[in-house]
Amino acid sequence: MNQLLINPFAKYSENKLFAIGIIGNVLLIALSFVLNTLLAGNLKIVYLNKIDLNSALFSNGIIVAITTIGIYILGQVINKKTRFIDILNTVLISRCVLVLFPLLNINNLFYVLSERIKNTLIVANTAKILSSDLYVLLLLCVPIIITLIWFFILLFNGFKIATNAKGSKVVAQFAGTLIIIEIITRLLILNFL
Amino acid sequence: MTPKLPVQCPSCQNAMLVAQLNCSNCETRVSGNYPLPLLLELTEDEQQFVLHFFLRSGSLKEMAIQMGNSYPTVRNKLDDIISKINQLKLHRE
Repeated sequence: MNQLLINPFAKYSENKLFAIGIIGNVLLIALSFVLNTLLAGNLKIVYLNKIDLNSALFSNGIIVAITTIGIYILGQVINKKTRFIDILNTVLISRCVLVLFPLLNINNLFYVLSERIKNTLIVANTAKILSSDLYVLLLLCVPIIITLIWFFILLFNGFKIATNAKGSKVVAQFAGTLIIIEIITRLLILNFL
Repeated sequence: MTPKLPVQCPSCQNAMLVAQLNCSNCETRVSGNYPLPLLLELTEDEQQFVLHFFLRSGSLKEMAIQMGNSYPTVRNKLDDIISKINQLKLHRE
């Protein structure tokens, strides 16, 4: 069970992983659209008042494409036998856990809350912010952080299986690549949306 | 129960040598210092893997299905065994 949650790549065939990954990502795009959540990078979530379907599709598509290509290039540098499908599955499966992010914005909860805090900060000062708002915001941040950690664990485990990468140097190379991927995706999403 | 062939020295982890061979028919004994064949220096698990690989005509996809693992997991194991054999070969030369 534990292995299934953090490293399904060791056991399941590429066809199964691809099918689950596609279903998960379609669900993620649908929920992003319905619940007004823009995933503007692997590390950036924006809760909006209203989002159109094109933005939800485009942002998710760009992130999947750039992350897959970036990690695949690193995979090729580490091991020439790295297959594109294994990296694509890694990205698709890892992103399935992100369905939790839109769910936090049911009834625009996160958006309304963050806007209220932001507006209070603009017109007044920190002392005027309702402590209940802050507690709710902090409470909502806990599942976000846990999900992000889970996402990166899945991404790294899938990468290690796909490339047979070993050693501590790989962690640094992987982190560096993710930073570059994050910059490129944000720039693209910022320019085209 | 088939006794396991110890391929590594339990004390210093070095590769073991064959010191004596016996003929079970005429009880002839040959003594000497013979290195184990390269494949026998692998662990039992690795030897089983090589045997399965051979019996499946080298199809990693079939092996993955049979072992209940993903294709890259099986390929990684094969790559690890290849690199171990290369190291053993290098060590012998």
